[in-house]
Amino acid sequence: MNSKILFGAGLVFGIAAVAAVRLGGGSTVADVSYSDVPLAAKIASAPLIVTGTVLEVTPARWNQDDGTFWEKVETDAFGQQTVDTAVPYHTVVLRVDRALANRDGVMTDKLAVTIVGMGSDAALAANVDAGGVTSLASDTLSAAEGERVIAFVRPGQLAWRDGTMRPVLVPMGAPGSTVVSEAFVNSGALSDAASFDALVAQVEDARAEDTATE
Amino acid sequence: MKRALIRFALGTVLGAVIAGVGFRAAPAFGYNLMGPKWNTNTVQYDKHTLSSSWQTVATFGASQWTNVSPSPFTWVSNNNSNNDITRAAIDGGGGTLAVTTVWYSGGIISRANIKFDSAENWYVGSSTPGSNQIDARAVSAHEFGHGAGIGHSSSGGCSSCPNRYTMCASYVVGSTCQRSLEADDRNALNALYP
Repeated sequence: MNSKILFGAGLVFGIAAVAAVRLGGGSTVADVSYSDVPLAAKIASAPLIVTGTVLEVTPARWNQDDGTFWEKVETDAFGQQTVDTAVPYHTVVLRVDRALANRDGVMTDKLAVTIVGMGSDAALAANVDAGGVTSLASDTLSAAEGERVIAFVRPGQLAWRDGTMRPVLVPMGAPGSTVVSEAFVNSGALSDAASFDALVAQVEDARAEDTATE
Repeated sequence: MKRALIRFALGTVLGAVIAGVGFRAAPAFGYNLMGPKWNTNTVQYDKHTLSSSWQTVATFGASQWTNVSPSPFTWVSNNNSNNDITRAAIDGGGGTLAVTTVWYSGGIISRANIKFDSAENWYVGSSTPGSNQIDARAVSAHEFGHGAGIGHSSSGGCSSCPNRYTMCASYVVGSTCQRSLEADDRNALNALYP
């Protein structure tokens, strides 16, 4: 068969496959907004700063025990309704190589960082196939499984369907600039950091006291 | 046969890359479109469960996208709409400001919910927030942009106030500069709803 035709067929198939995922049936997309936390502020005040390796980025779930979407509509005595809906989250598991700051002493050799939002396309492939979710860049990490990262983390909470607030570790700012890979930093994507090693050295200088108290 | 399969695979990969870029971004501009859109130019939203000051905030955010020329797109308040604007717990203070969730099928948006995090240090007035406050009007304008189907702008116009795009991915604490749309934000709406 003509190889150009086959190449063209593959091209069309690829475009169609992505279009089906992006535009196709029964999906949701969530966009998460964050405050801008400058790198200098993260270095100066993040309770936990670690270098490590991404072990796992979990698929997204909604914030209840079985991970499915929920919606709560309550009507009061006056007929006034209040509505609450599910929030998506996913988790990044890091193997900690080194703690550069550990103000609250909550460090272990493995950290699970909870991120509000739907996460990376790769991590969500299974969910998309199940009629699940897709993502936007806002809650997407600048790191993938197996990559060496630096992470700026703090103790936080995640609201659960039953109204409780679950204690979790959260990124200090938008995930894309908070859990970042060596390659990402070395590409110059963080304008205030010349390289990964320079960034680590910057943190070491700024947070020597926090590290020394471990 | 093996060579033919390789050709097909190469085409598939290239097609996926082209489509992935095409559906996510409009590279000639700073703006990005989510992909799906409403199949109507008039979209309703329900803000009635909010307090009066927050209803004003919601109205402000919606109105930013309502008079963008030449787009006919309009947000209209309606207490029976299932496009709920709510304020509830998300992840405690200092983290996520808001989440907009959009439901779609076949490229058509069927529902959009906006949830503001009740734990944040919000400023709901029309003047200037304190240096550690989050301007609810700026975030509201941003979220209603998502509700229309607009993604986050690329970083080019997101460096500093006063001309920071409303659809920049993050909000500068204490600022009001993302309350009003910039040309790039308007271009996004005009591209989506010409």
